[in-house]
Amino acid sequence: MNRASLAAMVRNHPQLVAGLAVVFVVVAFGPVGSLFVDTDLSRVGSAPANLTPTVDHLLGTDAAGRDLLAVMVAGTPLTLWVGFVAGVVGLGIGTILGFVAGYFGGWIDTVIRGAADVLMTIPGLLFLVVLATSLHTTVTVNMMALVVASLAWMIPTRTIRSQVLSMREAGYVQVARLSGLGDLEIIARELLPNLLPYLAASFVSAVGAAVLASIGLEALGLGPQNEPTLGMTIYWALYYTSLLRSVWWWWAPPMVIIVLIFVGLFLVSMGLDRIANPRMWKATS
Amino acid sequence: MTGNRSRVALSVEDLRVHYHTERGAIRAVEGVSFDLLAGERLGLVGESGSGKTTTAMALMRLIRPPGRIESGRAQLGDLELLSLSDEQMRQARFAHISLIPQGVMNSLNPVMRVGAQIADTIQAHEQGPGGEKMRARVSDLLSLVELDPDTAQMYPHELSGGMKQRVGMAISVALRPQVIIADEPTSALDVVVQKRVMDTLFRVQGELDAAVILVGHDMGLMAQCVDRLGVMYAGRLVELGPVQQLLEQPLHPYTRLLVSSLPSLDRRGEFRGIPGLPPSLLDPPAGCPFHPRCPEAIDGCTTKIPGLTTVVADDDSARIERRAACHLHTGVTS
Amino acid sequence: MPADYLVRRIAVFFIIVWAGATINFFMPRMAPVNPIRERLLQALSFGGAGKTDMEAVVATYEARFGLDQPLWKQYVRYLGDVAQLDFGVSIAYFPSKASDIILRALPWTLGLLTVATLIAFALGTLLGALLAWPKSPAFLHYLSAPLLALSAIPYYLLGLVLVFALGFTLRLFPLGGGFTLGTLPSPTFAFAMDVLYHSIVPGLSIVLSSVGFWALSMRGMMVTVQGEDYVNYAEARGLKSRDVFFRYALRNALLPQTTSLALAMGYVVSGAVLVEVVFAYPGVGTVLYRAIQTFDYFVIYGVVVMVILAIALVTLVLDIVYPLLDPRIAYKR
Ligand SMILES: Nc1ncnc2c1ncn2[C@@H]1O[C@H](COP(=O)(O)OP(=O)(O)OP(=O)(O)O)[C@@H](O)[C@H]1O
Ligand SMILES: [Mg+2]
Repeated sequence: MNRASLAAMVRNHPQLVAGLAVVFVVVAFGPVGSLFVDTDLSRVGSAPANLTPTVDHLLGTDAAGRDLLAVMVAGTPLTLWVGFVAGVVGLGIGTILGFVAGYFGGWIDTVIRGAADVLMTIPGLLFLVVLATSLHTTVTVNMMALVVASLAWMIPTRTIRSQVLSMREAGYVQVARLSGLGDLEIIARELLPNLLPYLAASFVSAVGAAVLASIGLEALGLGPQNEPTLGMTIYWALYYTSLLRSVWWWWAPPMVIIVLIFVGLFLVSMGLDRIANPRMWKATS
Repeated sequence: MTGNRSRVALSVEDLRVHYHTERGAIRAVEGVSFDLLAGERLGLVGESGSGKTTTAMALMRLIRPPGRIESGRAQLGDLELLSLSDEQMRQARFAHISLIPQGVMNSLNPVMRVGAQIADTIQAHEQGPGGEKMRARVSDLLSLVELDPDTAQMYPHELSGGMKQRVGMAISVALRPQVIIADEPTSALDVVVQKRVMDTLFRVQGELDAAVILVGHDMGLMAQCVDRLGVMYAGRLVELGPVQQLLEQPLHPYTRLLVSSLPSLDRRGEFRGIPGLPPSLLDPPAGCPFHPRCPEAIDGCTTKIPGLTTVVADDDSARIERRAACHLHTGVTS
Repeated sequence: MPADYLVRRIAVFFIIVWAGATINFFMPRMAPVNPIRERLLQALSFGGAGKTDMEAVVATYEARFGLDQPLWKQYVRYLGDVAQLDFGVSIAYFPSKASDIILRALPWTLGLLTVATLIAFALGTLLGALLAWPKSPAFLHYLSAPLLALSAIPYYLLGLVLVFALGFTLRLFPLGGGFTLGTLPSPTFAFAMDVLYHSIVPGLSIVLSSVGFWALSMRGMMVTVQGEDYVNYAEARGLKSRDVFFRYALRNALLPQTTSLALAMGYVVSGAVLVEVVFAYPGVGTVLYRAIQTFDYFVIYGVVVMVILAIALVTLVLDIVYPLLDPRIAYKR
């Protein structure tokens, strides 16, 4: 991409560009940070406990003797990974179900839509609590991601279903059907390309919802106890009442990173929404 | 038709409306001029996209961005509609010039009772009438359009298409305007209902002594209903004259093709279209916009735009004047 | 209101509750070992002070789950118990019944959540509508950016920041709890004020972090609605722009907004449960948190069913109110 088109991109889609920049910074934080910080220090007992920030430990250490900067460097990618996996799996399931429901209609549609609607009413967090307590083993980061993914498909299912439904009636699909294309071919060649902006937007919100759910679960103490994810860090910080002891270097850094993740994703999804529904955004702003 | 002299109710001069899109300006209405006589019914026909609705909306000053009224005058009594302030125009709407929009049956607020929607139109323009008085007035209006006064208590979804059309009519006459613009008021209705709704419209018009601009596709309906007919092509008025003469002896080649393409001898029904495509309004051809499709085009047609000129005149009545925008009638050759 | 509409809504209510209860029943059984049984046996083998208590718990557990019975029989029995709000006994607070513990906490949660959510919904809806109105004052547009940013932050993180800022640093508000420790709940004005005082910061964190969401969605609805024919027609009729805005555009945009309120309940409750944990607010969120810490399964599952029941009820109420807003509902499926 040359400089002129980059400038045009910034001008036309300021939210999208800003959001992507924020997300990029957070994503890069782990890999880049590990070049400077020894992530082994994120293990329990690898440093003296309860140190205030010094040159050796820029963000101090926690009550269990973890270097908090190392925890951040090691934990940020873990949290992003949970969000990413859950987003991919959730969107994958959502896309398939949404397509099936929207394209074939009938009783299949009724069942899928009904299930999505009912499950959406049930607070995802509680569902996850039951699931996580039922597993009753030490949860790993990947299990965590799958647990969260089990609830990440409803919203993509709904959006994609309604998009497919409206496209199914559109002229070009009818033409394709008359010209003898099979269902799968129509889906792959005609529907999928038109859905890309919606899929991208759904993916971003699925990742956001997954990160939200995962740190929620972790805050309740149901996360991977042995991993330094951002949510677990906040859990331990709360557990050891760091808030009331003015140990800001414990609770503030994970919080700042989490907020950056959400603000970045939020900006990206707003930018994508402008691309997907240009009409909505013309009238004001 | 009240038989007075040709008193002018609304005089439109050189109206131009463009839609400024990313690809350029769409010249939806380009220099339309006509006089609407008091109490008369003027039809406006033309292919889809020829600018009929845009003309109507411009007269109501309801053109939305990216559209813009580029120039023109519209004199209604002592009001020049296109130069009124926004607030003055708001007050003039429906009080002096009202509109039955294309698709009025889908334009009622679904969550408000019909009576309330008639009443709020009145309240927006008049101080005071409320309670019992207003209820009586709404009932009168509903009876005027042959609806049961109890209809006031109903929601739009409880009414048939024809009934909703009548509600639109009742709203449009509620403040006794001098001019009513009806944009395809019956195109979504079946033929029998269509006829009855039109009869009601014209009866009410007669009682009010209002002038009507009737926009539509249906030449047969026009032939039966209107006094004079205007034919639009690519944003321009290409012919204007008394409906009978216009249909029997069209002056403009476009009108001629239009009339000859009508399905049956008594010229009922909608026109089916004529060979060729309407020109791009983004980048109209030089000269007469119709020349690429015109079987009678002559040299001058490709270079010079013909203006709407009087072909058959009558000194004391604009009612029988005939005008056309065609070089065959202006005598230009080179 | 047409009867079949009502019947359908009530059916939806039961489906939601049934689905919640069923998840609760089958999930532990899908794990290779039944975690409840395992946990109980584990506790039993450690013995200690509560050994006899634990035996009693195991006894009730065996009795109510009857694991030797076929699955469908267990299931039917379980549904019957749920219908009577009988979730078994608490392990941590034996012999308290799980349902008693939950019912004691529920009013706190419902009070805090209902008020905070309604405030957020009303404020956000109004703000979103005004954002879509060309004539609204410019400062609103500046206000909207920070609110939208706040809506991107999880409820309970905002709660943490607020506790730190308003409670710990400025000492304006208590650090947590539902009322001052040492006082006894009583129906006096002083106690009511104390409860209100304690609920302000948790309430504020729910309101602040959700108001932007409502504003954004209402703004979207308004923009859509403003292109509708009935709005254009209202303007064509010469109605004043304020009337067009409030009686036509806003009135119609409220309909989908109300629908999303019903849909967002689950999300709102999840967030609020965590807010309670941060504030040690004496609601079901805190009960759930403690139960998880002590692996008090019956209480965990009881909370889940009770919260789902409450949400299903709210959804039902919204569904019943909805036809008052939308007269067409009688004819829609
Ligand atoms: N909002 C808009 N933006 C851009 N172009 C528009 C807009 N509205 C109308 N146009 C263009 O203006 C031209 C005239 O449209 P108009 O609606 O006036 O046609 P019409 O004669 O009423 O057609 P119909 O018989 O189909 O109702 C068309 O070419 C149309 O594409
Ligand atoms: Mg039209």
